[in-house]
This record gives sequence, C-alpha cells and structure tokens, in this order.
Amino acid sequence: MRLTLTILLFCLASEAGAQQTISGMVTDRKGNPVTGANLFFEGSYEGAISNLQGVYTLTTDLTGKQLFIASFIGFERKATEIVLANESIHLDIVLQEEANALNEVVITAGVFSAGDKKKSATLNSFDIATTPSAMGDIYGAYATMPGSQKVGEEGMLFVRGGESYETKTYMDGMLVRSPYFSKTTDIPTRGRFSPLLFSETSFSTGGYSGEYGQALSSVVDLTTNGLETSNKASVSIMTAGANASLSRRFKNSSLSVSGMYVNSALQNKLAKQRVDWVKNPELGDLTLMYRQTLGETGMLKVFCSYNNNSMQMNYENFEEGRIEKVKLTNHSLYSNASYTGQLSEKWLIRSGFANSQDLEWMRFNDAPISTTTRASDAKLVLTNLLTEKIKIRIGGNVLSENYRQEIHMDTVINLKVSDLQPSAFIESELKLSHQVALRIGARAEYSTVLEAGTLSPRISAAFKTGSFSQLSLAWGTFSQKPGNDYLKFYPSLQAENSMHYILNYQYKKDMRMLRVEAYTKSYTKLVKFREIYSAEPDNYNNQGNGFARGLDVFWRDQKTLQGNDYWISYSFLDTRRDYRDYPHEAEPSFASKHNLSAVYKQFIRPISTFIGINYSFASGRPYNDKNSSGFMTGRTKPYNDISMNLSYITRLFQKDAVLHMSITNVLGFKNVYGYRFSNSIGEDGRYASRAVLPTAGRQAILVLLISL
Amino acid sequence: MKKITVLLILACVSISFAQATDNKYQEAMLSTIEALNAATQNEEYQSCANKFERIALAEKNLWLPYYYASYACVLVSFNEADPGRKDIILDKAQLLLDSAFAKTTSESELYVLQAFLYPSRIMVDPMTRGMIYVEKCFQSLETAKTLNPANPRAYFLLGVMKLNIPESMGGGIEVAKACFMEAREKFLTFKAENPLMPLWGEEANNSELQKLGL
Repeated sequence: MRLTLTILLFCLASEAGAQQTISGMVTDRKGNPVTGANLFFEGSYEGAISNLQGVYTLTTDLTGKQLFIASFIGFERKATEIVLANESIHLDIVLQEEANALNEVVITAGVFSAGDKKKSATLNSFDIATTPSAMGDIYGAYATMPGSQKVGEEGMLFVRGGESYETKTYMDGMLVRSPYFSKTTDIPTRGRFSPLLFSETSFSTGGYSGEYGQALSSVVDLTTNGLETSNKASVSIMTAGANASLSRRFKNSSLSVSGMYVNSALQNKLAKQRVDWVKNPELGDLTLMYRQTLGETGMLKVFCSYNNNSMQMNYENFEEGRIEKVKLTNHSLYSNASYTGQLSEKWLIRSGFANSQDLEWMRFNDAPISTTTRASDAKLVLTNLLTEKIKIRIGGNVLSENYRQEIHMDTVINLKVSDLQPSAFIESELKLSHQVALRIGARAEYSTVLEAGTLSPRISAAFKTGSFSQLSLAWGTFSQKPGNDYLKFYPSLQAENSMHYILNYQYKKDMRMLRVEAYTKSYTKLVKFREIYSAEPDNYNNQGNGFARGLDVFWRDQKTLQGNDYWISYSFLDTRRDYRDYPHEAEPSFASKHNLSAVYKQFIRPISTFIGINYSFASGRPYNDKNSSGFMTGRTKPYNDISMNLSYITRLFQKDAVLHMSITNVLGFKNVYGYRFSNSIGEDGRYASRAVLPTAGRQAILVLLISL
Repeated sequence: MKKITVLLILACVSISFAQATDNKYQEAMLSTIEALNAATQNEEYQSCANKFERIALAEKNLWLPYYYASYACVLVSFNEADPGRKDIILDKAQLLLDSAFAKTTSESELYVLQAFLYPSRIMVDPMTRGMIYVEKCFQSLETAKTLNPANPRAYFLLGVMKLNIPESMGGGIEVAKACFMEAREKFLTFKAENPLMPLWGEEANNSELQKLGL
C-alpha cells in the first residue's frame, strides 16, 4: 500500500515536473514586434498570444519531440521542431510576410492593371464605365491615364509619342485585330467592346512582357468576365438607341447575350453638328459569351461578337476645295475561345483561338473601296511554377492575316497582303528576395510577307524601397510590321522597331497611390514615303526614325473623404520623328507636350446620385502651316474640356433602375484639333486654312437602365 | 474470467478517455465562446480567434471551431482602420470559413457568417465592391434561410443590409424594420441544437429596433 502511494506520488511529481515553459519574442524581418501571433504545439488546444512587445510565454505538459507553430494573419506560418526535456526554452521567432500580401514586390514599370483581384488596381471596369469624358469607352477612359495624348479627331489611344497603330488590344490573351469601329477622316471613333464585359483590364504604356508582340508602344489587355453569378436581365433606352442583355447561370456554366442598336440622329439634332450628315452614324452589336468550368481548375471561355457601323456625309475636302460624298459601312465578326487550367501542381496552361472577319466598305464620290481583313490567332502558353520564387513561362502563337482591297476607279485595282506570323516567347520571373523581383525574357517572330524575323529581348526588375514604395526598371525592344496600307503597295519593307527604357517609382498606402515614371523610347526603321497612297514601289523605305521621352505622374486618392474618389494624371512628352512624308525630323501632329486629366467621383447618398466630373487639358498640338517656311511649326491653342455625368439610382415599375446623363464640354470650350490647308494659293498669295473641329461643341446623352 | 475483467477495464478506460477528450473539447469551446462574448478589445478577439483555430486544427473534422475562428477574425477586422490590412484579415477569415465549408455545406450558420463577412469587404473599397458584394451577401442569406428558415441571424443581417441600401435600390428603413421584427420573433423561439452552437445577434437586433424607435 505504501509502495503504491509512493509510486503514485512519484508519478504525480514527474507529471508536474514535465510542465515547462517556452518563451521568446515574435518579430517581422525588420525586427518590429508582431502582436497577436498564435503560438502553439501542433495538435494541442493550448497556446499563447504574443503581446504588444511581441513577447510570448507558453506553459505546456507535453513532452518529447513536438512541432511548435507560430502563425499570424498576413505572415507565413513557421514550424519549429522542439524537444521538450524538462528545461525552459527560449525561442525567438522571425515571421516572413506572406508573398501575396499587399506589399509584395511587383513589377510595375509601364503597367496600369485594373481589377478587383489584383490589389495594385488603378482603374477597374466600373471606373472606366463612369469616367465622364470616356462616355463608356475603354480607350476614352485610358485617355485619362498618364502617357496617353488627347487626339480628339481620332478617338483612339496615342501613347507616349506613338501613333495609334502602335497600341494593340488583347482579349483573354488573344490579339484583337480591329478593336475600334471603322472611321473616316476627322470623325472620332470608339472601341467596339463595352467595358462591362471585362473583369480586369490592364493598360501598359511600355516595357511589357514578351508575351505581347506586334506593338511598338502600348498594350491594352482585357480579361472577360468569368462565370456569371446569377440570372440577370436588363434593358436600357438611350437618346441614341437601345440596349438589352440577358444572362443565365447554370450549374457549371453561364451564358450571356447582349444586343445594342445606336442611332445618333436624335443626338445630332440636339447638338448642332459641324458635319453635314447625309445619314447619321448607326451602330449595331450582338455579343454572346459562354463560360464553362472544366474539372477543378479549368475554365473555358467563348466570346463572339458581331457589330456593324455605317454613316454617310458630305465631307469638305478643303485641300482640294471640293465636297466629297463619303459613305462608310463596316461589318465585323470577332470570336475568341480560350481555355485556362492547371495541368499538374507545377504546370499551368493557357490556350486559345481567335478569329476576326472585318469588312469595310467605303465610297468616295461613288468610287467604292472595299477592304476585307481576315485574321486568326492560335496561342498556347505554359507556365511552370518551378519553385515559389521562380516561374517560367513559355509560349507561342501563330497569327495569319489576309488583307484584300478592291478599289473601283476607272479600272478595278486589286491589292492584297497575306501573312503568316509564327512567334514564340520565353520568360522567367524570379523573386530574388522579398525586396527584389526580376523578369527576363525574349520574343522571336517571323513574318512570311516580310520574309524576315525579329528577336526582342526584354528585362524588367522591381526593388522595394520601403513598406509601401518600390522602384521598377524596364528595358526592351519591340517590333511591329508596317501597316497594310504600305505593304499592299510594297511588301519588301522591314519591321519597324522601338526600344524602351523605363524608370518607375510607386508609392501606395491605404487607398492612395502615387506613380512617377520617366521613360525614353527610340524608334528605328519607321516607314517613310514621298507620296501618300502611291503605288510606286520605290516610294517606300524604312529610313525613318524618332524618339520620345517624358515623365508621367499619376495620383489617386480614395481615402481622404468617404464615398469620394479622384485621380490626377499629368504627362510631359518631348518627341520628334522623321517618318511618312516628313522632310526632316519634327514633332508629329498628334503630340502635345503637356497633358493633364483630373477625374472626381462622388456618391451623394441623400439624393441617390452618383456624380463624376473630369477636366482635361492638353497644350497646343503641332500642325504644318503651309504659309510658314518651316515644317510643323504651327501650334494650335491649348485643348480644354470639362465633362460631367450623373447617375440617379431609383426604382421604376418595382425594378432597380438607373437614370444616367453624360455631358461633354459642359462649358463649351472652343477646341481646335489642327488645321487643313488648301493645296492652291489664294488671291492674297497665301494658302487658305480651315480648322479641324470637334463634330459638335457639346454633346449629351441620356440613358435609362432597368434591371429586370 | 481474468480476460473478461481486463477487457472490461480496457473498455471502461477507453470510454472514459473518449469522454475526457470530448469533455476537453466542450470545455475549451465553451470557455472560449464565453471569452469571445465578453471581449471588447481587439487583442481579446484575436486571442479567441487564435484559440478557436488551435482547436480546429487539433480536431480536424469539425466545422464549428473553424466557424468561430472565422467569426472572431471578422470581429477583428471591424476594428482595423487600414483597408489593406482589413482585407488581409478578411482573407484569413474567408480561409477559415472555407475550411468549415469543406466539412459541411448544409449548415445554415456558415452562410450567415459568409453574409456577415462580405459587408466588411465592401468597407475596403465601397465604390468598386459595393455592387458585387451586396449581391453575394443577399445570395448567402437566401441560402441560409432555405437551409434553416428558423435561423434568426439570417433575418437580422438582412435587416442590416436593407438599412444600408438606399430606398431607391430596394432598401430603406421600412424594409429593414420588417426584417428586424421578423428576426426578433425568430430569436424568441430559436433553440440551439447544443450549447456550442452560435447564439449571437439578438442584442444587436434589439438595439437596431430600439434605434428605429420600436
């Protein structure tokens, strides 16, 4: 009996003796205390929490070999093997911040990405849809970003001293051959696709990845919406037409259909037009989107869109001094199917096929010109997640393009360009440390029409300079084949080239962001000619060149006041080029030295109204003054615009409804885009001139949207 | 005979052992739930979240500790002023909630918690996220109600959402009032399956009603 008691006591004593403490301090990599961390032995309920000084103390009954875990929100969990052997243990723990946390080092040189997923978002589809001056156009919204120039008579994106053709649009990774509606001289166009179709968009003003080819200056990458979350239907009636959309959600798939018809007859009556319309511009659009999840990680997206636009007007050809009857019709069918998925733990796949059929029919004084462009793009990209820090992407695509033009003059002229462009790229992304990221890659392309290939190396890097700031650098070469307008006459041209150097500083904290980017870009082998539209082969050569350098500043603040948001962007641009029929290097007519945009948005709760205002300024643009001895010596007066929109959220017929109004140039600034000069000398010994003006002084649109 | 005795003893020991672990779970959960109910400071919420997470990791097959760990994280996020940090905390809360969903998808309370988490996401970036998360929130509450029409928290949260949406969008005081009233009735008759099941919301619901003069 005594013995038993002794044994029992002994057991208890040894049990008590087994209780021991482990203590220490939890810090981040910089030595700052981490408060609130969870410290415990795996499989045990008991644990400790680190205090304000990061200090923890844990007492345990466990013995032997145990796994000691330290974890905290936003940090990587750390496990340490510990042998508990009756003596107190001191263990200091350093936690690593999770890589996907806010302050991850990300290469930001040149890129403005947007979307909810990416936390570096600068503009999302909602921002795009509600930017007043954009009037619902993606490119119009990106025109308020630094790096883009205001070129009112075109309506396309002009980036960093580049022509509009130097910007390419991609949808779900596939090239969109003609992202804009067809246009005629001095009538601005807009993008074919509604911003609401996309969950993420990114606008790169240079230094982009080797995945993107055939773009000298800029890339707009659009990611279409994923699975619709629910059944939806809406109709909207505009002063310029109507729009209806319907989405159905099934278990693993969704289908959306939307249709639009726009006729600007009423608009053009309301706002006095400077264009002599014979037939007001008309647009029709039918878009179909199908999404299907395949397996656990796979997603198949099918996008198909048909649209057409047409207009007819009497165009004053001031150069020749005559009125020309111009009629334009454009039919475009774009389809895109893409698949993304995970092949294994380490391999991701992205593939797709896109096809575009574009028919443009233009009639100049009863001389019809029909242009057909058919293009297909097939693409495959594989990503290997070698380790957490190293990612390798390898991919390729084959782009085939058939361009045909028929010009009916005294005789019928047939012109065509057929091209097949295989290309491949490889790129690796390395996270050298939590502070340094590096991306190295190259792209190779070959064109059957040019009978030549190009190799474009690209490098970018990012360095964290503080918890909220980082510095990025990018360098790369880019090439693009000359436009079909030249190749159709002279296919023996070479690819045009550019080289970008970019230095970017970004500070982002809470909901405020500052970006400053300096760049310099050089152009070589730009196409030159003596005379435009000449069919003479020796008219064309690749001896053009140029440069662009400047500074872009972007500031966005979504924090200071509740429910409001504003951004300001400023660009300084110094560019000169010798291309087309320029007699020597000069500032091109689309370039303005200073561009400024300020966008302000606010929701006014008491009246359920969302209001947006934006101000745009651009310094004068060069034009070639025929009455002066120099070339491109004229300067227009500066451009000013204040646009506004109001969205009143209400209920109509027991349905959610939005009444939306948008007005451009509220104050009625008299803007001038440039001047056209007569080809013949007038009686006063001078060439008469005529200003290129916006089609209307002020424009307004009213939209009523009802969700069914 | 000896064999039988040994077996019996073994059986008794294993039963009492099983009970002991079960009791240990019950006790740990009850004391942490109490601590969570009494918490006022962020460190206290965090400490409860940590404890629930430890229980969840040790038990592995139960949804309830994950539920509470996630719930405590959402409460932590309420007091976080920095929107970026708030998002990271909510990522964690979502991760824990997803672990709970991995154990069961037919528990009404999990959908209520999901609906409780979304508004915090909206606070990070109301302009962008408002539309998306309001819709998701309503969907979760619908599912919660379908799975258990007697769950008072679903009606309470519906009231909170309606109160924060303008009348013109189907919200407003009157609509919210009706939800809170319905919630009050459900709270009065609600019987939790066991003492560990969620019980929160009644006080908050009453105070909302009080604020609306009822």
